[in-house]
Amino acid sequence: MKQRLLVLSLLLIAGSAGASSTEKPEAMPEWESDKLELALAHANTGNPVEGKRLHHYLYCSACHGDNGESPSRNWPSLTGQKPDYVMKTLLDYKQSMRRDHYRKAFVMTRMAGLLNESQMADLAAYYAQQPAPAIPPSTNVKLAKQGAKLANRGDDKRGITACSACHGEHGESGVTPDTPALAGQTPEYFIQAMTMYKQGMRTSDVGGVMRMYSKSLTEAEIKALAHYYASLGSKAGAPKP
Amino acid sequence: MNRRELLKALGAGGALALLNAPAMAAAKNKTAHIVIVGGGIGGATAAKYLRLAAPGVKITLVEPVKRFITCLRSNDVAVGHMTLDDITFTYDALRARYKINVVHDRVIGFDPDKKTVQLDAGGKLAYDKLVVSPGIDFIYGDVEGYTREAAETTLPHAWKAGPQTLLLKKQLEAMPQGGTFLMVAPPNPFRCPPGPYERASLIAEWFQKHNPRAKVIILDHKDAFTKDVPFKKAWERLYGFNTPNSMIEWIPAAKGGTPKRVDAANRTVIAAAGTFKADVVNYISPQRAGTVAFRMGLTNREGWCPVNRRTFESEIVRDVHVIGDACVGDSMPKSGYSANSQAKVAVQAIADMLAGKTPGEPSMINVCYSLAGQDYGVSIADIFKVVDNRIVKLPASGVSPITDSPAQPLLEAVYQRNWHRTFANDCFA
Amino acid sequence: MLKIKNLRRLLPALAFALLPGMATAQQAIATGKMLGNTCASCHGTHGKSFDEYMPSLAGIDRQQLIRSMTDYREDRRVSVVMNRIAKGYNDAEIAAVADYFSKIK
Repeated sequence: MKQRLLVLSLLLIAGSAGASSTEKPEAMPEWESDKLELALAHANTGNPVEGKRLHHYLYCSACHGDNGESPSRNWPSLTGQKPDYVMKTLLDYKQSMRRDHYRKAFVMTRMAGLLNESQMADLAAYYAQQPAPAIPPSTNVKLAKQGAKLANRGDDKRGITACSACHGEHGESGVTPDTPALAGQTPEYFIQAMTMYKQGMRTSDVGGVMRMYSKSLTEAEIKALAHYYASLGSKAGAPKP
Repeated sequence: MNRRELLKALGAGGALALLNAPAMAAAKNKTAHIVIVGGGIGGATAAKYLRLAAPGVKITLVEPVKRFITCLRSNDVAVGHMTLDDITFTYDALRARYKINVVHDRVIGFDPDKKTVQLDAGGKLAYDKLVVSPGIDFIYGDVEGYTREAAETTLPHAWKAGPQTLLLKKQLEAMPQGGTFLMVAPPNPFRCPPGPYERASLIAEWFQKHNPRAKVIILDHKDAFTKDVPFKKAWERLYGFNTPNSMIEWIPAAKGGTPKRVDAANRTVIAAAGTFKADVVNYISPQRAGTVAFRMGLTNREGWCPVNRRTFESEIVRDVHVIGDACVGDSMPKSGYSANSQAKVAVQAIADMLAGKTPGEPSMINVCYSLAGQDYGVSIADIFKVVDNRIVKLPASGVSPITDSPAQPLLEAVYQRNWHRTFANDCFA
Repeated sequence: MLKIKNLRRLLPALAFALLPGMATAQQAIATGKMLGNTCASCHGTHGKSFDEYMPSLAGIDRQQLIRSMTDYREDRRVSVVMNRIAKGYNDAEIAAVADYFSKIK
């Protein structure tokens, strides 16, 4: 306990919510690509009407918003994602591959444990049907501009591939259907996700690709990228501040 | 009505500070010294938040133990889901981060006129404001045959976390297959109103795994208890409540549940409902304010400490604020959450008074998450205001709704753990 | 006849009625800080959560917090406990607490 208090006070002194990796569990499961392919074979067979019912019945809407578009900075938007990505994410959680800040991930690990694969596909179908998220209110235009170049051109000198190569020119997802769309995503969530990859706390990326790319990015770059992709959200339905 | 009572009455409207202006001006000339007696949830929170509210004052916390074991989650310790270490906290952060002078000692004397407290090890502490957070103590001998000695050796109440929690755990583990666990739930008011029913639940769950034919019987002084609707629904869903095979039997006062006599040597409790011989008896004693409150003369005839509800200043002794389980809190339950919330109100009042201002408007909250099973939480959430010197529960809010969604009780259980970690940090870190 | 005990109980109310300038005190609301400190018991001291799923409130967008709290209060958004909690606060209190948390760095 003493040790825990010490860690906490150090954290508080550092003053940074993102600085902690908390308890890192020993065994970190990973996907094998053929197994993932098999697991996602029925990702596109979900029933969006049932998905909508589950979204409310299972309190998904409590955090992720009435239709899956996040009502606050605290949780990611799910709308506009391809079914494969949502299905994979739920499987990731169920298999404890998402240990983002460990404690934070725990709630989704338990929630995913309530779902069978057909229910996961139903939810995935519902979110895929919803329009992509609007620009989140916390989006910083100046930071967004800074992130644009790295996102679209990468950095040859450091061997950083352009994010757009996989995530699409407009952050709309791309090469494979389990690649997440990034446009309009809550920047706070984006930063958390990248930080967790960088720290090796999230092992759900096939072949460790995101863990590799994130390693060479600085915190400032991750932040700029987060705001760049947030700024690609739909302008039409932007929530009033 | 004497002058002091008149002052109290007017104080609710703000005239107190005005009448006290000369005293306040005098206090401003030196560094105020605030002494806090009791380093539990209420006392620790008061120390930390006083520092946040008044960076310049001198703060001394007097607490006998160096490592404080909270009652919070001690039911988890009794069934082995947590250890005592998990619920033990030190005063290191209060010392290092908040510059609190923590003295491990006991208050044995009190002079309200000279405004000093006497410490056991010798020496007196002079205070400008005193905060007392005494917690609870137990009333033994309410029924024939139940003594302090019985509690410490054979029939643990385990209502203060520590050795008795471990004794209860040991007794559970030693129970014969198909045995009986008997709990006596205390009369109101008592610390942690949902606690007995959470304990009964977690023990039933533990039996499912380790002693599947064993049974939990609750003899109750009462006919209703907090969160009883969601608790009973959980018992139906998890432990067969209201069926012939129920693992939990609850005998309210109306059905003769009130204990009349205890035969400690034979682990037997006699009530109107019958004579109950059990393998483990968890007799949760009736309660009163912590002993130090009696020693300091802060209690009323019922054994609790009456306070001005807007400031938690004692109605008996001026410049002494009593918070937590020991104070008369009206509709506020005697919970750790309440103590934390009351500490923050007392801190606001003290900081305002020291600055010569009228104490600000109080606002309080109580949220209790209990576990009816490791994956099944039930909660109560209430907001409190002070109206005419009474703490009033606002009409909305309340207990967990009964839904058919499996996510709802699961999320409550998950939140319970989140809450416990954050709450402990809000008090001690 | 009124018993002394009852009279004492009535006194605070009489004080409100009799003393000028005290009528407003009856509608007084707690400060944003007082209200915010009550949130801290779940959301962390100063609204800074410790990497938990009960989210941090420090530095939150003021309007976002106001919208969340009113949505919870009016049952436009489901939650585990926040609907019940939000019902305990009026618009002025929600605005005060939103002011408080939005200004914390």
